[in-house]
Amino acid sequence: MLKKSICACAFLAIFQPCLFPQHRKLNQRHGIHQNRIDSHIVFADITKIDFSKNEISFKRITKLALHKDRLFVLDRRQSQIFVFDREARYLYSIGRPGQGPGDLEYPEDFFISQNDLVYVLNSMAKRIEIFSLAGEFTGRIDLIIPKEIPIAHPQGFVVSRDGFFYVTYKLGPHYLDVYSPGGQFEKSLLSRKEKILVPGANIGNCSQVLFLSQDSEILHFDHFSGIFSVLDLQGSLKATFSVFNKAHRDAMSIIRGGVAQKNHEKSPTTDIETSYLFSNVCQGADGRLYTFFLLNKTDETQKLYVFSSEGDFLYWTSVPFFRNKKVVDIYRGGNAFLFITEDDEVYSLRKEEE
Amino acid sequence: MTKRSKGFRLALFMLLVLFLSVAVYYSFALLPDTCCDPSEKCCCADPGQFGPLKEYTCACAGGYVQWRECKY
Repeated sequence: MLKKSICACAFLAIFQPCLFPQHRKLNQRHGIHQNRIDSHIVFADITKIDFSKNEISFKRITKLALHKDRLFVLDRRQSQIFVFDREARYLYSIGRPGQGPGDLEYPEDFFISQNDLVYVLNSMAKRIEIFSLAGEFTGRIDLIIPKEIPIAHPQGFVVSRDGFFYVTYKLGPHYLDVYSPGGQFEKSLLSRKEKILVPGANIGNCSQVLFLSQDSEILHFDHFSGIFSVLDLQGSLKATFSVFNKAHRDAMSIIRGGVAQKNHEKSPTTDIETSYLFSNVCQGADGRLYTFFLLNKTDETQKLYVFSSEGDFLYWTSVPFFRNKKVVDIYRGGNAFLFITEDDEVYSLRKEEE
Repeated sequence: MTKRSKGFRLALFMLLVLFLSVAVYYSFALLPDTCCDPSEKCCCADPGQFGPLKEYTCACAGGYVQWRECKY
C-alpha cells in the first residue's frame, strides 16, 4: 500500500505539469515583440472628455465603465455613480451618500451585468446594492464574510452570468473568494502568502478582478507585485505571470522595509498600506492585457506593458501625448481606451488602424 | 553627606527620570490613535514613499482608530 502511494506521488510530481497545465511566467525580462515596432499599439484620435459643461465636479474617479452608449463614473468620495451620454452630457446619478436601502457608503467598485443591472459594492457595510440601469434601487445583498477574516472589507468584484460574486478584499488572507447569489461564502479561489498582523502594519491586498475570454476565466491582478493570476470559474489556476522591472523591484523592497519598521515599533492599530505600483489592467478588443507602470522618472514617459491573454510579455511602449501627465488608470470603452490621469482628467484614445 | 553618596543619589535620580521618560513615551506610543474625522487626512503619511496619498479610510470603534487604509 505504502509503495503504491509513493509511486502515485512520484507519478503526480513528475507528470503534474502535463496533467494540470499551469503556465508560470514570472519576472519576464524581454518582450517577445519588443523589437517588432510594427506590432506595437499606436493611439490616435486622442480627445479629452469634457465634463466641465455639467455642474458636476469629481472628487476622485474611482472607476469608469461604458455600457450601451452611456458612461458610468463612480466617485467614491461623493458616494455616487454619475451617468453621462457619449458627448459627456450629464444624464442622472445612481445612489446617494447614506446607509439606507440604495444608499452608498464607501462604494469601491461597481459592475454592470448583461441584463442591465448595476451592482455597487458598499465596502464598509460589506454589502452589494443593486440598481436598474436607470438608477432605480431594486435590492441589496449582504456578503456573509467568514468570521475568521473579520478585517476583510471588500475592495472589488465581478458578477458571473449565474449571479455568483467573485470578491477581492482590501486586506485579508484571501485574494479572491466566491459568494453565492444570496451572499453566502462558497469558497476561496486564491490565497495570500504574506502574513497579516492584527494589530500591525500590512501591505494591502492591492487586488483587481475582471473577466477574460467571454466570462469563462477570471483575472486577478496585484497592483503592488504586478502578478497576474488567471483562473477558471471553479478556481483552477491556469497561469501566473509578471514582468521584471528593476525600479519596481526596488520600490517593493523599500515599501516592505517601511512596513517591517512600523511593525518593529508595534503600532496598536491595524494599518493597511495600499501602494499602487501599476495601474489597473484592461483587456483590449484584441484580447491583449494593458497596464501602466506608475513609477516613472520625471524625464521619462510612462511604460505601458502589454501581455497576451496567455501571459506572454509582448512589449512595452509609451504614449508620447502623456509626457507631462501621469496616467493612473486605463479602461476599455467599446473600441476605444479611456485613460484617467492623476488630475482626474479622462481621455479617449482609439487604436490606430493598420 | 559624603560626595560619594551625593553622586550616588544623583545617579539614582537620573535613572528614575530616564525610566519615567521611557515609560511615558511608550505608554503614549502604544495608545491607539484617537479617531480622526474622515474628512481629515486620516493620519496617513502624505505623501507616501512613492506617491501622493490618493484615498484613505478610517474605521473607528470606541473613539479610536480600529483600522485605517492609506492608498498611495
